[in-house]
Amino acid sequence: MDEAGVAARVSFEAFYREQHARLYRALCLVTRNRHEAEDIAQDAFLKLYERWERVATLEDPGGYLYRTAMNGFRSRYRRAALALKRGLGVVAADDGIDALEADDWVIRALAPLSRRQRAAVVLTDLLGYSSVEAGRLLALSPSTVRMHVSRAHAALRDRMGDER
Amino acid sequence: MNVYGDLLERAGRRFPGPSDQLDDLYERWRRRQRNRRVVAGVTGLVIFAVTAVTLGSRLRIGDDGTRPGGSSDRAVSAIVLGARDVQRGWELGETRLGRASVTLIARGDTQVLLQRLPLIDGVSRRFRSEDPRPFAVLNAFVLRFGDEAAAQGGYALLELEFRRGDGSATELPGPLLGVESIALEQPQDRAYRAPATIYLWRRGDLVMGLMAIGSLQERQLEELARTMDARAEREDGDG
Repeated sequence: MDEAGVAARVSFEAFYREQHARLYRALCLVTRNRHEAEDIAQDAFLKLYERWERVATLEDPGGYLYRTAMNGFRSRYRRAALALKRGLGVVAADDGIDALEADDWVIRALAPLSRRQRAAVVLTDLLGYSSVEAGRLLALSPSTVRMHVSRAHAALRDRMGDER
Repeated sequence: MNVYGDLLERAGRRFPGPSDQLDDLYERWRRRQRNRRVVAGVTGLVIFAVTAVTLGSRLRIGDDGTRPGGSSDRAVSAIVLGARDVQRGWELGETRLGRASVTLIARGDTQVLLQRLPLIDGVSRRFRSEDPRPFAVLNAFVLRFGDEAAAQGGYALLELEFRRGDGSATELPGPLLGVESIALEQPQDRAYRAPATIYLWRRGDLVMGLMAIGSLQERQLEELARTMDARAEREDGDG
């Protein structure tokens, strides 16, 4: 590997360490499945790695990462829906989720929400995207995003009341 | 971050940390690269196979087994070549043996072309060594005449004259030039159209060739062979 290649790799690794855990946790909340979250995160980083020379020069490589991850999430979701119709499983079940739900009421509160609702609330509240930006990432209109977020908030509020 | 953001942040931390590491990512990247190479290789093979089958079928159509008539001392060779547009000012491709002094007169329906290339010693040496494949030089000739000519069984005369660097004629090996089919290397920017068949005669130091596009009738070949002989005799007389 030449000098430029080494430098690119070093900067990618720094970016990876900085973003990986955050992306993974966000995806855990969205997918409720660690295996799937890891897979989507890895796929997204892999795509970035292959284009790192260009991505590194972007103003917000993190945004590119989340956009890539959300694309991966959406395409997986489509594949999963298709597989469901065919009665196939595409992702191993996450056995640990039950224990997490028992321990954490927020995770429990997110469970009945749809994937899109979870993705919308995670993108806007946790990652700080506006409803327009989140809509772009999820291929939804901003008003749909706001509707999803509002339902997620309602679910969280209900559960919050129970917890108190 | 609002209250919901804080709740989500805290909930996210409940999940065990990711198990994948950078090394896994690089390993995955290497696997992906390997898979892409394999896919590219397989795709290439499929394309090659399809091209070979397509060409094979065309070549079979082109070479219908006819041979030029005439006496037996006129050894005939059929070399099936590829195709390339013949236009005014066209370029003869580089040969694998290097450059050869080649006079090429192509007579399609209307075109008469002449092209000379300089000779390098390597070519002469090959001829003197009686290499049975000296005419592999024809690999370079990937010619095509217009669709109309091909459709009408058009033909062209191809004269090949090999000369040494000092201008004297090159000694050629024995009269039998062999029969050879050469796979076409498709130039990327040109569509492959029709196979050509080249029949070669040797007259002294002069190799004469007939390039036929598509399949010629035997009658046409005989006529052309007579034309070629007449030309050769005329040139012998001139010499």
